[in-house]
Amino acid sequence: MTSHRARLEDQDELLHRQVHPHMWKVVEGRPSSSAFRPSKKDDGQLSVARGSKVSAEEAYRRYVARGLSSSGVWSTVAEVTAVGLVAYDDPLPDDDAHAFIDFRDHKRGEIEHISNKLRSFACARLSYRPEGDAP
Amino acid sequence: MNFNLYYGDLMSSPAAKISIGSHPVGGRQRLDLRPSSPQQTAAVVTIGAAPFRLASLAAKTAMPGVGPPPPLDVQRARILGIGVVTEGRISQFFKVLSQVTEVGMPPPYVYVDDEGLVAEWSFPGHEVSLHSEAPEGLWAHVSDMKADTYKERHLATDGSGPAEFVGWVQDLVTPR
Repeated sequence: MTSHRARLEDQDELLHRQVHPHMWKVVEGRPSSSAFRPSKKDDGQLSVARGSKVSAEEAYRRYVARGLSSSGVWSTVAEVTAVGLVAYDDPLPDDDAHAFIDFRDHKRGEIEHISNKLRSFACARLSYRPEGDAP
Repeated sequence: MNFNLYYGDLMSSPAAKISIGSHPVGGRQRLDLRPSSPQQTAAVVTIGAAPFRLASLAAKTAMPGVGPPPPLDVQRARILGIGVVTEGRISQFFKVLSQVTEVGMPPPYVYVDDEGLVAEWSFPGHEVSLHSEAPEGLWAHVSDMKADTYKERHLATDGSGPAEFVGWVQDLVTPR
């Protein structure tokens, strides 16, 4: 399925992940790990935006322009590789920076554990949070 | 078992089979979840965004022979999102929450996502979660972030699953 999609190899490239307000833990001041794992409807593909094509702020603007909600952008980099995952370029008609992190070969327990690790990485590099958005 | 809860405005969607009501009780908002008929076993719960209020939550199911779970006020938690849950799953979920609370677990972060109910706890070096998903049922997960390992258990309605999960969290909350 991914044969026509280019694997992202640049370990320094940022991958911006939008965090839905539902996944923002107010008291802890950080997102839920569920923001960093695909839900069933995602078919094992966690959407991100490529940092080589858009800034974190621009990724946020594109996201909300599609009518979606976000509490901000958290970015992950070589950590995706470090946790045993692969990211693929996956441009969309309305977002050429779209990519996804591939969870499809992992079992649910692994996915949960990996998402905890990705959340920890991402929280260390919060890259954009819109003013006045904090719930 | 009492917690406090931050929650958003709640609405039942046209497809909802569990009605959600919110009314003031003793100066606080009380939330009731209940099936609108015994034949209805699933719900689509749509929960809006801000403003968030300190409130109490009472979740009630009407499953014959099961009875309602105890009133649940979830402190410092938010129930948000869109979820599909069955009344049986709600009952199981709150029953396990009661069990882990009794051994000293702090208030969880609770939310509804598109797979069901989720409760999360964070401890130094550990992340704990309880998922109620359709059709799989209850799953418990503990990530040990320092050792880079995890434990996972499907919690059957009866059997050793819930007791094993309670044992896991007891190890986390017990001072060493």
